[in-house]
Amino acid sequence: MSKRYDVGSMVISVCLALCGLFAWFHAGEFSALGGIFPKTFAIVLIICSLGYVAACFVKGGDGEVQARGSEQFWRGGALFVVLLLWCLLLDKAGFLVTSVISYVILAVLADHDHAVSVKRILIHSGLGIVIAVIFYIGFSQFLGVPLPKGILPF
Amino acid sequence: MFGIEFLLDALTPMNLLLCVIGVVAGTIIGALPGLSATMAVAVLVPLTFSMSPASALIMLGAIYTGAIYGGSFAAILVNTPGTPSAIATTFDGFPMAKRGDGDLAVTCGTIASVVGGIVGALFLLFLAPLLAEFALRFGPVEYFWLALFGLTLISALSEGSLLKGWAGGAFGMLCSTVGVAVIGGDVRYTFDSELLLGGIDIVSALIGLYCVPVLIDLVMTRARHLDLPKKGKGFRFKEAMGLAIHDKFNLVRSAVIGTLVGILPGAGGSIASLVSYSEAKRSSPRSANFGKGEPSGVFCTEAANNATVGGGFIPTLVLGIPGTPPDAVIMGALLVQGVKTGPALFSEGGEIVYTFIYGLLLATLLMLPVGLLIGKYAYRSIATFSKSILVPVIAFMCVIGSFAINNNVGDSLMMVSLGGAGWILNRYGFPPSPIVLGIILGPIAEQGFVQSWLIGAAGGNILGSFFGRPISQIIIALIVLVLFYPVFSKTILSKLNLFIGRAPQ
Repeated sequence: MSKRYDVGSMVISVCLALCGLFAWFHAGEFSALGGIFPKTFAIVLIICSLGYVAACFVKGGDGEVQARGSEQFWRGGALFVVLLLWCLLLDKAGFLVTSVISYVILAVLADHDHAVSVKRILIHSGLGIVIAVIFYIGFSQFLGVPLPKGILPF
Repeated sequence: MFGIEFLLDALTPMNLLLCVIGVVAGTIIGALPGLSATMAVAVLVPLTFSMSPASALIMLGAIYTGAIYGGSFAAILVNTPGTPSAIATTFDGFPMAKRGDGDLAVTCGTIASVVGGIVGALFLLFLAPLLAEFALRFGPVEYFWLALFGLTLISALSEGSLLKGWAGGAFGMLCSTVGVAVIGGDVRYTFDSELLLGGIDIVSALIGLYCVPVLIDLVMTRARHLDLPKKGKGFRFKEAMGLAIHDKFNLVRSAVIGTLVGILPGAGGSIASLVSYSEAKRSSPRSANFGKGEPSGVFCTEAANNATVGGGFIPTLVLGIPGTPPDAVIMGALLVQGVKTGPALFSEGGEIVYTFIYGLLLATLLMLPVGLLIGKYAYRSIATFSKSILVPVIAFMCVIGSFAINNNVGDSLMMVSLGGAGWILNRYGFPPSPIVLGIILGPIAEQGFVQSWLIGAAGGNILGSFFGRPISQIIIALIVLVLFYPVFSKTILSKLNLFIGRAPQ
């Protein structure tokens, strides 16, 4: 029977080994005691990662990752980008503005059952405003977390 | 000494009311990812300034115990530990919820939390001075070995390839070295970025590695987040009690482990629950089911983390050394009330201390009805809500929760970045748990190692410093036992089988 290589895991393992190599290389710049742990665990990371790659060549690995039903990767990627932009703009634009916009986009991304329409966006916006205000009041007033105001005066 | 009069003091209507308020507030705050038990106690401390010392302590104890328990809700229902203590609860709690047994998982977690809380409080009541002496015998080297003992759990947490698990653990340990070294002050792997100077915060790493991958998977497919409840509309209390009685040894052992780890200043609920999980998995006849929705996995972790509450109060009250960060906040509140912790507290301030301990027991018992009610509605809401509400609300909690740690957007950015990396790694069989374990245990292990090395070097006996102390030797023996247990057990079993004349299985 022909071996099925788990190419994705092997690529990740090589990337981790490169991380280990980078960490080990830079650990030389630290003091003797400050460098012991980074060096040790960089070596462990390199050995385990390359060990896995070697094991894949010998035994064939775990097989390719199976797709879980009908997955729409673009939705996952878009969610990640929205979260990233939300955090990047949180200080500048403020909590309420970024949260309501993010809420609407995330709600649309998560909704597989309805087509995007003005009516649905208005519903999501209304819910987003209510939830954002509840979180804002709860955190800033009751828990004392100073959420960024950004472009709004409150 | 442990008089009934103190119990009656704790049972006044006002104290009972404070207990209920404390448990409810703590449970809700603890259930929100990013809001820790420390924050719950710290935020609500000012409310207690106008109360009598005993009532203030009772309320703070109730908040603390409720918050540790509340962490299990998010762990079970969203696969995100509400507090770091609930990391190990995700391993079996979420798979149970996923298959429609979320109500059973929440009830199991509640029963275990109550048992753990009671065991911890009883240790505090009867053995506090004795155990405080034990805590003092733990030096840096013992912490180092304890952290390594925790790392042996990676073998247990590695689903599939052990090499992937160890690679993840090493990656987590490397992540834990980012920032300014605690001893020596080396600035490591910061790429000249101010954001990385403080290192990777454990809570933002937890939220990112556990919660963001769940969100990404949620939006990618049409499938439900959790299957709908399998049975009726009740709490499944009878079923959970049956499982708890069947698993009583695991429950009590985990609670004792939690209490003993809780006594050690700085160790905390996360280590307690991980160690008890490792022990439960090792000794269970159903060890193959751990990680796939085994109720014993929920029992052990929840019993252990709630037992750390009572355990943590032992050094706090007897020695004036806070066992956990919330203990430090409570100690501050005690000082405001004019109560000085220390060896004389139990003899001179017995009235306050014993009323508080009975109040803690009361709060623990109150967790049962309060927790079951909150848990039931939380599970049903999360199981039935539309994804278009669930996804943005969980995202809200992730972003605000990570921001609230230090009121810093950098933590939120770190959370999202680690979440993206975690999703890719998880997809290719590198589970998040070993990485998180490395991030949590890395600083404890490194600090213990460096301090022990310095002490050994100063005394001219480095090897003796690491291997010469009795408690270290016991922990090293445990590490060897855990690592080689499968080999030991196979050899011993085959010899036994030969002895009794049966073919080896």
